[in-house]
Amino acid sequence: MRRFALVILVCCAGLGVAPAGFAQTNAPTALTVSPDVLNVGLFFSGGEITITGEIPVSSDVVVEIIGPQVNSLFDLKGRIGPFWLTREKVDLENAPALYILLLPSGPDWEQKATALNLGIDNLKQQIGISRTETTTDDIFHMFLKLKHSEKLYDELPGAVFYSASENGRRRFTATCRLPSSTAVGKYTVKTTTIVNGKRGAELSHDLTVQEVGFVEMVSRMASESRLTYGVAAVLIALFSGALMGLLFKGGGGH
Amino acid sequence: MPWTIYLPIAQHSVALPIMVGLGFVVGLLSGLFGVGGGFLMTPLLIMIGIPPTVAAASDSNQIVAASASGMYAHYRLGNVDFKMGVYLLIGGILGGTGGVQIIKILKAMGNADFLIKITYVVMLGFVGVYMFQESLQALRSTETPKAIPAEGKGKDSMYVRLMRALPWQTRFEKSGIVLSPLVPLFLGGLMGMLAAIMGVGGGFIMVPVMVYLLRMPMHVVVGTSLFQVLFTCIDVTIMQAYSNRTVDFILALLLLIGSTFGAQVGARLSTRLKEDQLKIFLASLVLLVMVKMLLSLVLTPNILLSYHGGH
Repeated sequence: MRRFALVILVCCAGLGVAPAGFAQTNAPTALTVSPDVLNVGLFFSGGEITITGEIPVSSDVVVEIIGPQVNSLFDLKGRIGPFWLTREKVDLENAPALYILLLPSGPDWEQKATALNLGIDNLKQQIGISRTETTTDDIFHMFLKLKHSEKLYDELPGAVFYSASENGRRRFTATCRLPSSTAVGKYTVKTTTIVNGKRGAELSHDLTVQEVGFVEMVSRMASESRLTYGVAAVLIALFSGALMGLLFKGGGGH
Repeated sequence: MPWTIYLPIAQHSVALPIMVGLGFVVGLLSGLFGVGGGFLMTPLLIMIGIPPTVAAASDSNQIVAASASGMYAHYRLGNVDFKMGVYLLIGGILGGTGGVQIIKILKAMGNADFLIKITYVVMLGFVGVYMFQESLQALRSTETPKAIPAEGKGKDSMYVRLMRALPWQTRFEKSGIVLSPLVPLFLGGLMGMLAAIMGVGGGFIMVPVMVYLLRMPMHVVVGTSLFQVLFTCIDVTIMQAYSNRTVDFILALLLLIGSTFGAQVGARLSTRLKEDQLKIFLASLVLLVMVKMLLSLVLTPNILLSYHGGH
């Protein structure tokens, strides 16, 4: 009876491990994001992120950097007579603050990604657009244009590189520069393997964007002690103005 | 990167030389014409990529420094009529408070932005064309060796007679005029209201009003206008920081490094330039901004969608 129980236990353990082990052969392993905390200091002008991992030789990998989902209100302009003015307000829900897709080299990777429900065009399925007179397709394209202009949405073909294979696996490296307008928050770096033109296993890694030092201090003061912050801003401005006045007086006659 | 700096409230990186340069240009205008420069600086900051609300609020903060510096320079030159300034300021604060309420009503009605811009276009167009024409005529008349007519004479219009008929006539020593305090109180209120609606210090409106409606001499106008702009912007900065968290301290600091320096240069230049030259420069500037405003209403925007909450 004890032996039977042991056999059952071993079988169950084997069944439990087998699917995971099968998935791991296709999954990127040892996924690293460097740095995984992006510090926004006084001289921050954007930051470079490097994503590395391993995948089977027979597969490819695409990397998504996805910002926190936000709900935002937008003004939509329209022509009335000779003038362009705000015609209606549009609510967009669950739109990521940032979305960057890093693709391997190749002529048709953007189309392949779209076909696999990856990439900017597929965000339309997750973004909720409030009812407007304009079609949701048009609103979505205007939204993408706005985000492109801010460099917050992008697709970068040729951004994933592979190194020589070893033991049936190869190492990939993807590099991307996040713009200076990247908002503070928790981001997700997601890798998806592509095997025979189909989506394979996925792995995710957190990326934190946070303010530090003087920037963090100013930001916190502006949020938590608003009146003090406003008065301090005025006093410093008055002091600077008076100081310059005195400096000029000392510098010569008028 | 030593030449870029991150703005914590705007959440945007900017190039240091560009920001200081912008501040200098605006400070120069402040010292030269007695305007705060908000009507020019805010659109420029937005063009650089600063969110409109942050651009407008931080601009008010830097105008405090530029106006303080410019006013101090004019005070030393004896160009500030404090009595007139206080009347205008009282009117301005009352009018500004009313203006904020008008904005609320307009927003509830929808399309406040359009009404604000069209008000800009009409106001700037009217003031700019009038100033330009008159300055040009004055320049031509001084070039020809004719007998120089006394300024303002020959135009003893109904307006002048009405001014004389108002009660509590008082003498404004520095400006050399006799006027009822009701006039600067009313005009200050009107300007404060327009300034609140347009979201700027209001110096560019106040200067022509002082010159043409209050008949004050140009050099006193500049110093007195700076006095009024200074206190209006102190009020706006504190209110914006408290209510909207839109004052970017670092952005304002960068701008004011350039602007305080520019204001001093402007104040000195203003004493060397002829009065009509000053007026014609200001008129050109006002017309330029008016045309830009008009084009922004008429030309197709690049992107029809924009974040809600712009100034």
